[in-house]
Amino acid sequence: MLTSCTNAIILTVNGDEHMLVVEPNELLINVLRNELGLTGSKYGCGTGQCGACTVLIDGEPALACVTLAVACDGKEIVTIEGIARPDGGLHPIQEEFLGENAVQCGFCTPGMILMAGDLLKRNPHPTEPEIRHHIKGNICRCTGYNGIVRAIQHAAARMAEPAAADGPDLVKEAR
Amino acid sequence: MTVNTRVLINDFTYHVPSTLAEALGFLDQYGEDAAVLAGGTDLIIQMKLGRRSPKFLVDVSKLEELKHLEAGEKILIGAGRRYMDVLPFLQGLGRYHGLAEAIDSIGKLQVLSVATVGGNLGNGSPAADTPPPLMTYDASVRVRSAHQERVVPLREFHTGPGAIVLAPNEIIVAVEFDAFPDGRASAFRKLTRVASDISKVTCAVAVERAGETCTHCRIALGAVGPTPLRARSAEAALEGREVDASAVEECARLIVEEISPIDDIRCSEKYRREAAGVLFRDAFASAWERAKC
Repeated sequence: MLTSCTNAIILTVNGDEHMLVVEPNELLINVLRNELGLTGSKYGCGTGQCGACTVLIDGEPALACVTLAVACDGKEIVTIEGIARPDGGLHPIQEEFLGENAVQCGFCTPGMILMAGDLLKRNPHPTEPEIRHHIKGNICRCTGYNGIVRAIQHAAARMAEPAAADGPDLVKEAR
Repeated sequence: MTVNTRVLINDFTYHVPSTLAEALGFLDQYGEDAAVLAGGTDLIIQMKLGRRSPKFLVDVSKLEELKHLEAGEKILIGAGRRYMDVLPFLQGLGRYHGLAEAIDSIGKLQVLSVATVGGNLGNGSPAADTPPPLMTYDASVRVRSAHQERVVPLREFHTGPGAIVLAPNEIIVAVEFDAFPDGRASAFRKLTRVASDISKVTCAVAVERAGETCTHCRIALGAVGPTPLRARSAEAALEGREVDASAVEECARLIVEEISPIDDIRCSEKYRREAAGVLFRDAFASAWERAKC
């Protein structure tokens, strides 16, 4: 009767497969940060409001702070650590965030960048309202939205160029 | 006690059944000690805040029996369908704007990608987004236990704040409503504090018109009483009437009287009454215009 009550799970995180033993009440964010040492995803409000813990689960944005790790068995997770190029170079979205000074305290940034990537995957030429709509679930308390929006606009323009074949980014992989 | 939202403190056993029968077996066995986990965007937060502490979680996200999406004489939406799937389904049908707008208003993709209509109903919140439009569609909730299936009209489904008619061994299978006849249209409006937040007030309207006469009218509101509610006196005031500015004003006044909002962290009772009238006017105007085509 308790066959489905196993706590051994397999998570593929940024392309690497991990076999883990987790308690049922462990949250994905804690497993990512504490077990796997991936501290890019941030623990913000803890109640699904701020978006700082945003990760991609099977290609869809989700909140790691309200997701049970055990429920992610067999799933593919992408965190901010999986966005940069294998050689360590930054993703165009990350470079544009730097270029626009779209980072102040940095706490919202990993979630913002993942959402920006998700948007450009779905819609390579977003309008400003579309950008703002897409990052609706990500709160920045340093009042940096304008810079963030500009960074995403620049990234969109850059990534739409034919020469944007640099980087094995989440955008191409998800396609 | 200080709440630490960084961890889930209570221990529980996690089950992820692969069939509905297996899930219902768990619920039958565990009764009130069990909770059904769908997207988790409500339940996990309630558990963090100490409002719920189930000993068993039954994860229904793998159950194909909850994933129907059918459009025939009835529109059937499986309880386990994520908003992200339901929204394009509705947009494709092109006529159920109220429900589509309610789902779209949740906005936050990180929630749309996991949360379900079944969860939104099962949570029983008076501020939930989908019950008001579904009420204007005269929707019903299909409910199953290991022993029986029953269909509960949505208007009888909510019994108080966070309370619904489900027995502990029952699960929501689907929500269903009759396909709109030609000429019926709907709309939804919501007021929140910031772009992505729980509603202060919501209002849904479904209408049918013959020229300038309203031949069918449903009005439902959220976050203005202990449950999502229908504004029946306002509906009666419009149905069969010629619609002009004074009829709409009269209707808005009846709604403001009929609802029973409270003061809370999001806004005051007085504000909610005012806002309900404003949202109604907007939602009605939009539905009325759509019904013209």
